[in-house]
Amino acid sequence: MANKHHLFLITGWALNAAMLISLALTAVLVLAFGVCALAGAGLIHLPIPLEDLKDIKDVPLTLVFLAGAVACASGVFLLALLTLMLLMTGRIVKSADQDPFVEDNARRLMQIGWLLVAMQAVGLGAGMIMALFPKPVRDHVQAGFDFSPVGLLAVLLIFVLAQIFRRGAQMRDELEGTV
Amino acid sequence: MMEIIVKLDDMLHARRMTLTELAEKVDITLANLSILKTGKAKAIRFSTLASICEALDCQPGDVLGFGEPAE
Repeated sequence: MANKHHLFLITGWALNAAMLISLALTAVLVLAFGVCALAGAGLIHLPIPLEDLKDIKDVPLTLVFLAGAVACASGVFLLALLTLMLLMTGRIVKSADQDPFVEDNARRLMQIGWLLVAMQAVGLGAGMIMALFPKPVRDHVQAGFDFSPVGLLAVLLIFVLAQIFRRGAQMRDELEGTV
Repeated sequence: MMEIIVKLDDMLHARRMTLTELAEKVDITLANLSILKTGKAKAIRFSTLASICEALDCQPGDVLGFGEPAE
């Protein structure tokens, strides 16, 4: 019983820490997005060492900054979704100590599932936008990902778990009325 | 709508027993017995029913009935 309590406690702390890191990274990426967007629009000049740009000297620098902005924007979206997901997971873990089989947790799991879907969509979208940039740019700026079967499986698993929790909540309700 | 009605009140009255006394005798919390008495219970375990029948010296039919709920 005590071990279980510790497990929930440690998981809660880890989730909080991950959420803080995620928020900090989001702030950094928002800043980077701003810099890339401004540099892409030619409003600020970034001193970039030329030797690093040997293979993309034929490509306009604006394009590189644009790619950077796309990468940062997708990162911000992904991290925002991740933060929300960590928040939901944290709430579920918090409730696990008392009574996890409540309708709220089923709803939270459904939301986590949809957040995972949204993350897949953002990643796919970013990957498709990045594919429009010329190859030398893509070698330097990476963002997004391809369709991942594991991600899809995770989404399905979460949705199934949500239904299991919903059933659990119903059973708990019934048990409460049993004398 | 016909439904299961709990006649625990009548039985307690007939046996000159209070709910608290019954709770002590059958080892069920007063809160749970109140839920049963007020008809808010969704289900009753056979073991609970058996203890109540033993304590009140009666049959399940004396405690439970099927009919229109009394408002």
